[in-house]
Order: sequence, then structure tokens, then C-alpha cells
Amino acid sequence: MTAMTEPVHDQLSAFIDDELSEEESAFLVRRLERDTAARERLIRYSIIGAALRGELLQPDPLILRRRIQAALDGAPKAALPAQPAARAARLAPLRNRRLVRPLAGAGIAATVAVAAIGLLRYTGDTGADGTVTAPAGALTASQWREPESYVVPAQDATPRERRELPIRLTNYLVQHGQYASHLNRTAVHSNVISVNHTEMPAAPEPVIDLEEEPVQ
Amino acid sequence: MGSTKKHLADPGARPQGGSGSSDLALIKRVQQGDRSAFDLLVIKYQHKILKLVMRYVRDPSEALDVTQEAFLKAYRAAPSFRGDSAFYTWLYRIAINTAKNYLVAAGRRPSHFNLDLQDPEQQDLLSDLRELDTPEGIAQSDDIREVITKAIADLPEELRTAILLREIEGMSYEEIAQTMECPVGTVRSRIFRAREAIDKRLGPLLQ
Amino acid sequence: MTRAVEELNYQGTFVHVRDGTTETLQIIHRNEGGRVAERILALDGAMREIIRREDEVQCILPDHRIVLLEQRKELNPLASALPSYDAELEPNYEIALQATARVAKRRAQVVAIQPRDEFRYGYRLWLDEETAMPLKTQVVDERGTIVEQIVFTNLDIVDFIRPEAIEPTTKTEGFTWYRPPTSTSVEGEPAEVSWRAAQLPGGFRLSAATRGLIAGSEYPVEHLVYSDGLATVSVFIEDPKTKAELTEGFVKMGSTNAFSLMLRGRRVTAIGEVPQQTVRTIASSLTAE
Repeated sequence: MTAMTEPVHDQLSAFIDDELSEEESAFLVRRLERDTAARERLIRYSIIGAALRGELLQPDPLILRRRIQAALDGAPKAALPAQPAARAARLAPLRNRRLVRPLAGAGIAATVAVAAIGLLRYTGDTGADGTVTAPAGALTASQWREPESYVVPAQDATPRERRELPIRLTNYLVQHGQYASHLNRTAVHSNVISVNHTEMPAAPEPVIDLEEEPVQ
Repeated sequence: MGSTKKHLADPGARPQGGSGSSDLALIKRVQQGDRSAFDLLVIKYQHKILKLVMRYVRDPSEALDVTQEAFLKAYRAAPSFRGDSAFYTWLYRIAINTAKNYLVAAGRRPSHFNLDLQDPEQQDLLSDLRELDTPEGIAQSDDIREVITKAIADLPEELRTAILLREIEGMSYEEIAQTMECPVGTVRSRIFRAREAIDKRLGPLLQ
Repeated sequence: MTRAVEELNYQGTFVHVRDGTTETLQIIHRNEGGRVAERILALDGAMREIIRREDEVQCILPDHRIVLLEQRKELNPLASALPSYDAELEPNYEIALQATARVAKRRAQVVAIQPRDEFRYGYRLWLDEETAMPLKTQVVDERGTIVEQIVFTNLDIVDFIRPEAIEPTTKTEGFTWYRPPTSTSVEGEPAEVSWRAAQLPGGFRLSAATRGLIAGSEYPVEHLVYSDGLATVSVFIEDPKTKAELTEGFVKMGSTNAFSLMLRGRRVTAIGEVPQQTVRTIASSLTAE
């Protein structure tokens, strides 16, 4: 994609004020579909306006938009024409590619459950660098037994997206999380400044006394 | 809705541009199943619609729910939008109906809301959202507002005036041109330059 | 005396950002005489709710009418091998205090943890000055890009939280409950692991090793955990009888990287919150002892 040039910024500005001709608008809307930088700029322009009018949502200016997006993500797709694959892939990073990862940062020990929820909207595609970034799976067969995997069906997953389906990897990750979480974030972080972490009885007492570290 | 409503809801009032063509281009895409176009409409109107809804539904978190529902209704109803009125007018009606319906339904559980139509001008309505446990953003609104306020203050006067007339007074470019006694093209350029200057400071905050 | 994150009573909202997506979660954390309970509610996207009561974790997925249940043992014995943080960190990370800042309306001390080589990620932490609670954390990759971020947007640290506050908001009657396999070792078989990584990036040491069934496994899986005190890499070695499902190569998920390959007829996969080359180095060097 070519770098965005100023004329487009100017058009965006007029667009948000509804001061573009219909033709220009149609052109810009098509461009906005693929130009994420332009979209982001448009969002910022809208935030500027909202802030000036005292309409900025607290504490997150985009909370509504996120919620609406999420609600639409959960909406049945049948209502819409099929999306071209390229666009679906482009949208994936924005909406669907959720990292399967325990939420350790909030004092939450990573859990199977947390990892599993992370998978909900995690549908896959092949990244630009060729690495697979994928699992989107399903609880297969009967739902009345132990799971073969913690992967929960992603509503939007198409057969194509399920192709890779490394459920195995997901299960690894869940298993890994049990160890990683204790070390990786909360535990470490809080230990770093000499806080005992009750979930880590085996971990030694603090750790690093930052008072003795060089201060920048 | 004051002047904002007048301009947005009545595109005929605008002699040039401001004809709702941005919205029209977007809604056409939505009708073709383009959800990202709808997203742009959400971005554009979420603040206004929420403010509108909060005149009816005082509880901030309920107002958020109602606003969300209004947008979803609009999305579902998009194929039936014929362009007889401006998109915003149409959305505005949907939002008001959604809010009213909500109040009727909520009448069965009165403790959950507080209806006070006598007092629609609640300056602190939006700041009530502060209390919401619906959070976040990397940059928070407080920081954003602060940055924007500073950036506005630093703008050359003609840029500042242009963008304030647009964003706060809701004037069309034509009206601003008359007010500032300059060509419409200059207005467009000033507003754009103002946004660019603010955006330069806002951008890093939103990364 | 500072208080531990687990020991506090608090409620707040945090945002988890990775791969350009944002997820907002509300957390209520209650500690009554050492009994910890927690409720996490996803505020956007599909409805999800997690209830943790000491060692039991329920994940409620109303849209799917599913509850995932995990009995979470307070650290299993293997975890006693977890490494210490002190001297061990120093060769691999440079830790520095930076400026103070405000996060979630609280004053925070910024701490930068800079890796000394390219085998691990860096971290920036905003630690609450009063409680040391991490108000904001960033994971930074080898190119300086923030690959993952958690930010509290509001946080109330309180003296007491009502027990009801931890109750699920979702009624789970009629939901399907799932329990994962609980055992980490297989009945009748010695839980010993015979594989080790021959080549490890500096500072990584074996901190746990186990052999047993994991979800979806028909045959026991060997699981090695390597850590440099901060970053953790798991290595999974499948039984030769297990049908290979993963293709060889990298899988990337935000800050988590995995590398999988076949070694002596076994599927070997390394996974962790480390750069790609770290998982590859470790996985590729695996040898049977």
C-alpha cells in the first residue's frame, strides 16, 4: 500500500464533515476499506470533534464502537453477502485474532478457562510472513463428555479457516500457561518490587530490591 | 438537538457539500454488506447518539446498552434505508424509538432507571460514564481531552476559529466561510490543518 | 509493608491489547482471610465470565451454554523447581527504574526490564506506588514493538468486598459442564522424562518436567518447562504413537511463539512468550537422555 499522502488527509477531514461530493465520498469509502491508516486517522478526527463538544465517552472514547463491532461479530453472517477472502483475512487482525493466552497481568493466575475464552474469537489465517497464526476449532461430536480440546467453536470460522486447526497447540498452550503465568507476569512483576506473592509459596522471597538498582 | 441537529438532519440547509454524501456513500456500502462502512458510521455518530439517548435513559450503562441496540437496529434495517431523509435523521429516529421502547420495558423494573425528561440538559451526563465499569482504551479520555485542549490552544487563531465553528457550532463550511469572510476552500484547508496539528499530538497517545 | 496482589481486595477494569485487538475485562478480587476469590467479566465481545474460588476455576460461556471447569491445584510439587528471580535475572535482563506516571488515576513507578540479548522479550511495568500492583504492563519484542499490553483503566483497592460480588452473573442451569483431565502423571507409569534440550539460550534452565495426559491426548505427553526467571518456554514431546497434527514450523500468537518439528519420530513443540528463535533453538536441540 502506498504511503498516505496529505490530499487524502484533507479528504478525510472534509469527509467527516460531510463536505465531500458524492463521487469523492464513494471513492474515499472504497479506499477506507483497505487503508487502515486512513481509518485510524478518521477515528482520531472523530475523537477530536467529540472531545471539543464534550461528548467524549468516559473513560474509553471508543467503547461503543467496540461493543457494536463485537455484537456484529456475533451476528449471523447469513444476513450478509459472503466476504471476499482477502477482506476477511484483512479484518482478522482487527477482530478475530485473539491471542490465546492467559491473562496473568491482573493478578489472575492463568487458567485453562482463561485460555479457552481467549480462543473464542480466534480464527485463523496465514500471516504475511508465512507463519501460521491459526487455531479455530470445535468441540467435536458429543458435548456430553470430557473435551478433546478446550477450543470452543468460533462462530465465524469457515471451513477454510479451520484448515490448520492446531487444537493440539491450544492444549499445549493451556498446559504451558499453568507454568508461565506464575512466572511471567503478575508474579514476576509484583515480585520485582519485593512483594510476596501468595500463589507462589515455592518462590523465594523477593527477588530484586529496586532500591539498589541504578536509577535512571 | 440544537444547531448540530439542524445541520445534520437537514442536509438541504447546506448549499454546498454537507449534502449527506459521505453518509450516503457509506450506507450504500453497508447495504452491500460492508460492515466496515457501518463501522465508520458508528465512529462518526456514536458520541452524538449516546448523548441523545442519555436524555431519555439517565443511567450511563443503560444508555450505552440502548445506544448499542439502536446502532444494531440501524444496521439490520440498513437495507430499508431509502435515502428519503439524511442518514443521521433516520438514525436519530431509531435511537429515540429504541430509548422510548426501553423505558416502556424498563417500567417493569423501575429501580433500574431514572426517568427525568424535565431535565434533559444534564451537563454531567457524559461524565457520569466515568463511573461505568466499562473501561479502558490505552489512552483514556481524560488524557485525550487534555492533549486536545492544549493543542487547540496552540493553534493559530484562524485555524482554531475554523475548527471550533465546525465542531462546536456545527456550521457547514459555507457558513463558516461567511462568518470568517473567506472562501470555502480556505475553510476546508483551515479545518484540515487544525485537525492535522491536533492529530500530531493525539496520534502518539492512541498508538 | 507492601501487600501482595493476591492479598489485596480490589475491583477494577483492565484492557488487554495484543495483535491490534483490545479486550476489556472487569475484575473483582476478594481475599477473606487468605481465601481468594475472583470474578472476571469480559465487557466486550462474546459474553464470558470467569469465577475463581481458590483452586476451582469456572469459565462460563453463556453463548455456548458451556461451563469449563478446572480444578487448579495450588502449585503442584513440580513447581517447587521454579527458579528464583534474584541473581538469575541479572545476567539476562537489565532492570531500571524510570519515571513515575499516572495510570488509572494512581501513581505508578515505571520499571523497565530490558533483555540483554535477543532471546527474550523486554517488559515495562507500571507498578502502583502504594501496593506494587501492576497497573500497566507491556511486553516488548526484539524490535521494540509492544506485542502485548495490559492496562488498568480503573482500580479501586478496598478493605472489603462482599462475597456476593464474586457470584456469577450468569445462571448456568442447563449448561454443559466440562472437566479437563486432572492427572499430570499416568497411572502405573513412572512420571519421569527422558528428554532434555541440549542447547539453551543463556539463563534458561529446566524448572519443571512432567509426563502425563493433557486435554485431547491419548498417550502421555512429556512436558518440560524452561525458564530464565522471567520468560518461560514449554516443550512438549508427543508419544510416537500420537498422530502428528501439527505441521513443522512456526506458529505465532501475539507475543507467544511456537515451533514444532519431528525428532526421532516424535512431534516436538516448544512454546512460550519469547521470540521465534528462542523456541526454535530449544525445540531443535532436544535430545533423549
